[in-house]
Amino acid sequence: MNMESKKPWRLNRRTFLRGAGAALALPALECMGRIAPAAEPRRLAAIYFPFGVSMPPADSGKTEWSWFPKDEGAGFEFTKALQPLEPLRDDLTILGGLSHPDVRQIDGHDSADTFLTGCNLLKRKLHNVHSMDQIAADHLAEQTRFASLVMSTDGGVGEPTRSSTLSYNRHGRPIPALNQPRQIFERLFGVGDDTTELGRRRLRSGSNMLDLVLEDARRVRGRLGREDQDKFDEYLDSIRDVEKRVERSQAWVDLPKPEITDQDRERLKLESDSEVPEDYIGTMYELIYLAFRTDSTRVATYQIASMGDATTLAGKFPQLLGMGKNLHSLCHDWNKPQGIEPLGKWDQFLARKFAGFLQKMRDTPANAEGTTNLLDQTSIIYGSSNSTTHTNRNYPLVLAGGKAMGFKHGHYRRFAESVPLSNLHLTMLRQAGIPVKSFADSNSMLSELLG
Amino acid sequence: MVNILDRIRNRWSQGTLALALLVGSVAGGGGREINFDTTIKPVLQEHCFKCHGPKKQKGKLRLDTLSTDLVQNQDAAEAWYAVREALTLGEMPPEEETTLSRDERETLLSWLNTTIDRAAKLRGDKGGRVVVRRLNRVEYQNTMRDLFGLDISYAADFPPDGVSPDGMFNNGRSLRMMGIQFEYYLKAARNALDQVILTTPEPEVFTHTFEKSTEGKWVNKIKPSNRLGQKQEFLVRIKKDYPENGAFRIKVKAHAEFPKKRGPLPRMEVFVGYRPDTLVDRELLAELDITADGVREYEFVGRIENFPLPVRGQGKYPGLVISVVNTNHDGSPPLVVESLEFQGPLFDRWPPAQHRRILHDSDLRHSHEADYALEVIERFLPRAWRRPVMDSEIERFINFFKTQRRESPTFEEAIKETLAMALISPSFLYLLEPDSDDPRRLNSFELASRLSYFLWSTMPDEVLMTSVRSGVLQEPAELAKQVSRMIGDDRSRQFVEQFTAQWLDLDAIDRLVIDKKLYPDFRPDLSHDMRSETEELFAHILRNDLSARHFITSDFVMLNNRLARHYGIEGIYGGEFRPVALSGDHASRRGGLLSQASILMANSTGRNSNPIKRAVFLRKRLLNDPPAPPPPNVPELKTADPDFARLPIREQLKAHVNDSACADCHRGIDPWGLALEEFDAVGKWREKIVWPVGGGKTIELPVDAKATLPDGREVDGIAQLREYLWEHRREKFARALVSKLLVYSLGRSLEFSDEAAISALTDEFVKNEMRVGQLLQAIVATPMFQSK
Repeated sequence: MNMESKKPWRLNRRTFLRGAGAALALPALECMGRIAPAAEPRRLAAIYFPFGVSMPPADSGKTEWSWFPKDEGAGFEFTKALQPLEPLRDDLTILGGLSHPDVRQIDGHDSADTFLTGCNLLKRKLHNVHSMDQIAADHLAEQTRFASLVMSTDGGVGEPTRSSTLSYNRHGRPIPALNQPRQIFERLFGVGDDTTELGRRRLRSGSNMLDLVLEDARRVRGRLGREDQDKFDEYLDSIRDVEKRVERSQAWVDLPKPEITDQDRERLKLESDSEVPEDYIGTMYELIYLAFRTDSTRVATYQIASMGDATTLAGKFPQLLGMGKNLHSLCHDWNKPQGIEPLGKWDQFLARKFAGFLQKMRDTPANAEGTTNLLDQTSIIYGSSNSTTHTNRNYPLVLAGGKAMGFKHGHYRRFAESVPLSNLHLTMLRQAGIPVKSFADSNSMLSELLG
Repeated sequence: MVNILDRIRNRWSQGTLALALLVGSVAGGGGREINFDTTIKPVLQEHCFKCHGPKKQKGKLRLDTLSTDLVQNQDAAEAWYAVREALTLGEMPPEEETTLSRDERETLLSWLNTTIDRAAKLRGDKGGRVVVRRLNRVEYQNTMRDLFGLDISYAADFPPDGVSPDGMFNNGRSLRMMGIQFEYYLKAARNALDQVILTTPEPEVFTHTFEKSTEGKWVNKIKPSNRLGQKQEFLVRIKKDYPENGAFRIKVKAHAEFPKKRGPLPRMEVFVGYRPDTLVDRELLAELDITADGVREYEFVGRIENFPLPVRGQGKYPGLVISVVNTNHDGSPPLVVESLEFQGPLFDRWPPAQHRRILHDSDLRHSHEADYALEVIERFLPRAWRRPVMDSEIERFINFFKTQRRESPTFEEAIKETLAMALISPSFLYLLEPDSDDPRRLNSFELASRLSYFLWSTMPDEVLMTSVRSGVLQEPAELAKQVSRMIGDDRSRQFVEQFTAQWLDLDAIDRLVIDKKLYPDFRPDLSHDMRSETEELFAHILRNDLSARHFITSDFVMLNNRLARHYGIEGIYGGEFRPVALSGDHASRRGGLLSQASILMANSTGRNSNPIKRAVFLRKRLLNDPPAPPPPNVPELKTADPDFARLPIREQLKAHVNDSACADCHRGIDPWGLALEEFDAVGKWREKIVWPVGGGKTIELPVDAKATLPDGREVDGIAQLREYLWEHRREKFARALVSKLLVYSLGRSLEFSDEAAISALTDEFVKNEMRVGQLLQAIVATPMFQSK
């Protein structure tokens, strides 16, 4: 990945805030952005589900449950599986044919890790690379209180090839996903310590503490064997990351955490867990929505279920929803006559949850005149790294939102297999104002998606 | 075929290969007498290359280009090791291929044995290396609890830990550290110290005594009462005067009216919470069987912050609600509550003991604050860090304290920050074993930590540290004595829970939904008892140093009343687990892990048995021989026939064997699961199979548990399967258990170069009638356990 050189004249947000005083309203001023013309916030989100979708054979008599629409282009027809997205037709594009070429050869269940990275893990001793969302997060970090919001139903990192996070940092290390709604909410909106006198003192002492611990850790590292040192670098990097966080918190300390309305609170089901998928997935989307609306972060990822067929907590979602089988088996039955409809209904359920989120984003004006909305300022990739289960090709994908970022929607577009999915990632990054020249194995922008 | 991919995965996940091996160049190829190119290759060419050569690479194995340099090339070493295993077990070449002549087989094995053993020796003393690892969530929680002597939740915010390819949660490579994780470490450290070091004035102690329920109604038509049968609860509410922090005690005075005949026992459960309209907002404080006649006082202690509490001044349901329940519904006599007393917060004096453990009583506290801080730090650091602390380290802490003190309004605030720093230090969060580019022996502090995280999942206690400080821990007799003591200690329960969960993947129980229509009698809370059965069996074997044979086949099972009812075993009263001798039909049906409901259910579909999952469980968990995962873009079974779903599972699985793409692997998988067909999805014995065929319909099919195992032997059902495993796979099981325990004890995956040590341990284990306690002793005694 190539970065364009940083602009030396760019204002440091901290200096800026100090100068401008604390009363300044949040949404960043354009001169602070890394990209001069980005007058409005630009956001990125990625939503992932595993094991593929319903693709009934043409002679099955049940093609209405096909995930992919009928007919291509602007005149495409929604099937039952994506029906809930119909009202958002003009805010999204359905994409067919794309996949990561490097990932096609690996196990069908090994591909979730690479949805946003595009590399062949198995050729890299299972070390991943910087994910698309985190490249954006690194760039946009200073604009908001949180660089990114990384969530999954399973939480943590899982294991390589069965990861439970979509996001990887600049070293290719997995970023642990949060999975408890209450905890995520507290993090984003909790009054927290920062605003109290004690909290401020702790922010300051935290800085000192981290300096000392880092110093100490460096000494420890010097005494470790070579292999341990490699492992221990994770710890050193973590301290540096938290130092940055503390520093940022200090910059934000005079700005209270955003207000959440009573209606917001009503909608949130913070105690929900994976036992009630309807509430849980809804609440996770709600948290992304609130984080975006309050401009607490500009980057969010949510993995609805991991590829760990035996381990994901979401495995039982379809059963809890009365669809009979567990997720993995449900997806395996895609070509069995009696398996088509249950899988189609699961696809439809996911689409309905996603549509609810998009709808809310669209209904939220993003400026005083109401000429643009949150959805227009956010590009969202939604989909899976399997078409049918085990098949790492022809990813079922929806690209939604971002009309204010240059995207043009309302089509079902099919791409040749030679087009790498990284081209979409590159396009999303560029349209979000991230100055990258390429991403993974990208070879061009997907200009047909742009208006 | 043996799972090469998994082996390769293991190694990959270990990151950089341990190929910093300083072994000189060793000529590849051949044992002393057998030449690879002239003798071995032709045999392989004739029998193996067809499927493992340039055209096909079944099981991801290609032999024609596989290096014969087993010393330098770890991939090759592991692949050849797998080849030997497949040959030894008679799994390769497969039936339909030309068989090896006796001579060919012997020549191959002889070459493999010589080559593998020689390479193992050359690599052996390098062995696998333990990578520096952090405490996992459970270890962190236990360590904080023991460090502060305060049983509250410390790790709730941490993201779940990464799992290793062998299913372990204590593998250094899988336990990652990232910014967000570290952030929560700092938060957890501060929260803990806020809970331990108290600056609030001495709180009022509340005492309430109740002789009657105070509430009028409850959920599910439960009636408040003193006399507790199925539909009554003793239910009291404390409106205002209760603590929100600290320990509390509940005393229940009660009796039961026992009939003369021995029968079901009442089981008292005490809950604390606040909502009468849902059972969610209350937590179990304690439960016990009432076994004795007469009025007795039962006492329970807890920490109030571990229970759901209402927000004061808010909500529809103010006040703390305590309920006493008799949960036994199998015709036990009523339990009669005479009175209930609540008291809290409990403390001997103020501030309480856990505070004084950190901020000890001393005259210096007010006269010479900095000297006092020094004492506090000097006492805390070695305990938190599980090792002696250097002066320079103390100095950094005291300097930090002084800086903090200038900014903090109180001494306590400054010292809390100082101690928090100790808890985010690598010396606390990691098991550090420095100075170790080359293998070396652990020092006795490191050994003590390794020991206590192995056998207790927590920090060493004072007895162990005393042994370290008196310099005797590394003496074999003392070490053995400590291991015995630790196994006998209650904390070994933490080992049992952690190890059984990781070895057998017991969490799978919670990832499953049982279909209520097909299993209307199944109560989800039974899954807790199921899990306990497995833990109890392990604990019983360990405590009594019994043979691991009982994991395979056993004449007793661990039961309580609920699970006994589930299994249809009569005459078991009370909720406590105990060994129960099997008789009659049960003797051939139950006994051993494979007949436990936990394992049968976890490896079902929730609607029916799942022979594949059960088979994979058996091979992966019990024989350490996981089948390869399905290949990429696996062809789907040709099952378009709508009647397919109506076929018995056995007939469905035949599609695997008839389809050559599936047959190679599934011939080695399916039969293991088919032999367990006598058990339904919840682990009950069944006389017929109720098989869902879609659309909410079911059909009934006869049970057929006959199976032809990969080596051609036939078994029919659990009884013969167990017998077969014990007769023919005993060593393999022994080796698997040794490996799993070793992996767990070391916190790393095993590799080829550990084979010699595994073999030695296995031999000794088998010779010792597979006594598990002795195996733990033997593992601790190995150089690999005692060195970095």
